Amino acid sequence: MANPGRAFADLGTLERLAHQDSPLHRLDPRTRIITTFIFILTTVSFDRYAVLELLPLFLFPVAIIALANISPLYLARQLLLLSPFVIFVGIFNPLLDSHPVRIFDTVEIAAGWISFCSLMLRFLLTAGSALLLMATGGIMGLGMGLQKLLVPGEFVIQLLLLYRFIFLLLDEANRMIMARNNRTFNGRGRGPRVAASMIGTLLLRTIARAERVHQAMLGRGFRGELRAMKDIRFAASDFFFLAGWCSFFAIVRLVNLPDIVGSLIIGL
Amino acid sequence: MHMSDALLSVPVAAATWGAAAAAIAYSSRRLQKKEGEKTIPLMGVLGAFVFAAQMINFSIPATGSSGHLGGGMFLAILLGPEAALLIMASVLSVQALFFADGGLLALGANIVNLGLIPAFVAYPLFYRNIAGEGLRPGRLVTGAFIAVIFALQLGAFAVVLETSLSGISDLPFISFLSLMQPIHLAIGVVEGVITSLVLLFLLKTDEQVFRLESRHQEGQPFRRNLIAGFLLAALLLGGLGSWLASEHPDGLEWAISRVAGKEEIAAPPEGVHKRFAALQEWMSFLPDYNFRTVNVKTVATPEGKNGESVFARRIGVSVSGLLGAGVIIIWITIIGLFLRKRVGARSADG
Repeated sequence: MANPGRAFADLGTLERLAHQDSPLHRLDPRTRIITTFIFILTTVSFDRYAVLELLPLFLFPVAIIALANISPLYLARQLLLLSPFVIFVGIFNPLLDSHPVRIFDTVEIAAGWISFCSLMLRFLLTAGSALLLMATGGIMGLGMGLQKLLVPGEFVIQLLLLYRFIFLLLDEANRMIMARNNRTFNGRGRGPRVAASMIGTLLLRTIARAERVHQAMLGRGFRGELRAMKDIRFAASDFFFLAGWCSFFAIVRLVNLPDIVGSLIIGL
Repeated sequence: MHMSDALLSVPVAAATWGAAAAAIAYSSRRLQKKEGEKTIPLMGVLGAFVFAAQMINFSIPATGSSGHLGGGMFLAILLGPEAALLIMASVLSVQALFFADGGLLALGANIVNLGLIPAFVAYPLFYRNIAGEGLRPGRLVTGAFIAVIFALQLGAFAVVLETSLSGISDLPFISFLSLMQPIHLAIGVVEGVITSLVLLFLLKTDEQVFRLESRHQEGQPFRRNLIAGFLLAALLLGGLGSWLASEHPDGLEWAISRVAGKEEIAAPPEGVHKRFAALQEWMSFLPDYNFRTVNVKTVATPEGKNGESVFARRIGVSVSGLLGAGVIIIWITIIGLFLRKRVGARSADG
């Protein structure tokens, strides 16, 4: 997140993806928020040694990637950039949890490797689905959905404003950083003192700008509430989407699908 | 340091979400009472400012690394704890949603660690008491520096606590703690320095900024502490409860299988025990977080066919499972490719 260029590009990509049109994009934002949330809950509720049982859950992100026309490479890159902290915390599992476990009747590995694999799968599923939620709806949809889900209005408006201003302020910060870097050599002048005045200046400019924006908003009839041109409606397709996926999650959670499929094949 | 969904268990996530939601509701109500809707645009913009300010990194003298401004404490000093909490909550939401930094489930934990702790614990406890009223640079800077360090220490501690209570990682509590606290002490010093420098700059250029929060003197610090204490207690209780619910049976199960060797602790086969086990099994959508009916059953029945231990069976790696998983992966891939192709064909038509 330290690179403004990348943050820009990432937000831009998500915004572009969110403005596509697909059956998924046309769903009620509430449907997508709730389904994603239940998906994440299902994922983390598995036993810490669950590896194979988690695999059927990949159907959800794969279906969304396919239906919403999202590049799997983009998603993979984002997840890779985020993975270090989770890897750091999980990588000690194999060392600390060394009870041998037999797989394939011949190979013995430490139980920690299994919980580590489980951790990585959880990470891919949960972090990926959050990104997919935004890639299919964008911030406006999210805001509308959240408000209908009884999140305090002040909080939602604040969130929307924050998002709009990120683009402006990132641009401004970017210009300041460029100006500093062009005027400093060998790392001199890039210390905390200069950065502090830059941050202070940015803050003062931001507050002045916020006051102008607020006046302009008041002038256009802002009364502290969110209004939309188009009301969102919970349609039949939303019901099928929600009910279908939730029953799939329930089946995956309650029944060990890989085991059943495997025994069927062996039985044949 | 952001908590990640993958490291959290459901009870810990629920407890932290509860604390975060309570803090957000409380702050929204208080702000509305105090200022009406007039601060909302300012807060949104300052949230974006936190993003931008974090981009302005600086090199730390005598080391090769760089640092940036944290946010929570800085905002609390300028706008008061309520606004700071709401701003941090929305900053963290955007990070969770657009950068998958953290995650939806871990959002509650992150709001607690990076919003609630700086704004409602470190700010009233340290900054308010040291800085006092009025704008004396020395006290202001000292207060900010100490409060930032304390907030980061407590935040790091919370990360370790949440991770350990969730039981997904095997890192022992003490080792993880002894890793995290010193790292965050270093980060805290850097953040404390930059926060103090920015405050000094603002004090020199435009004192008005410090009056953004309409101050109110009706013995607030005490009540703030009370609320902070209450929320922390709720968090701890929730965490402790989840530990009892999810970790202890683990240990118990281990102990049983070790002591009994052949794990033949026969539960009374008939009667209440069995009926309860059946009922529990039927009810437990999330069996790991109830009373582990699966394991109760495993322990109660005699050894499995191939003499697997309780442990191996719980992990459940079997040939049929692997085979089935392989087939399922192939199915998912095919479904994905098929859907993609259909969508592609349709958009080519349209």
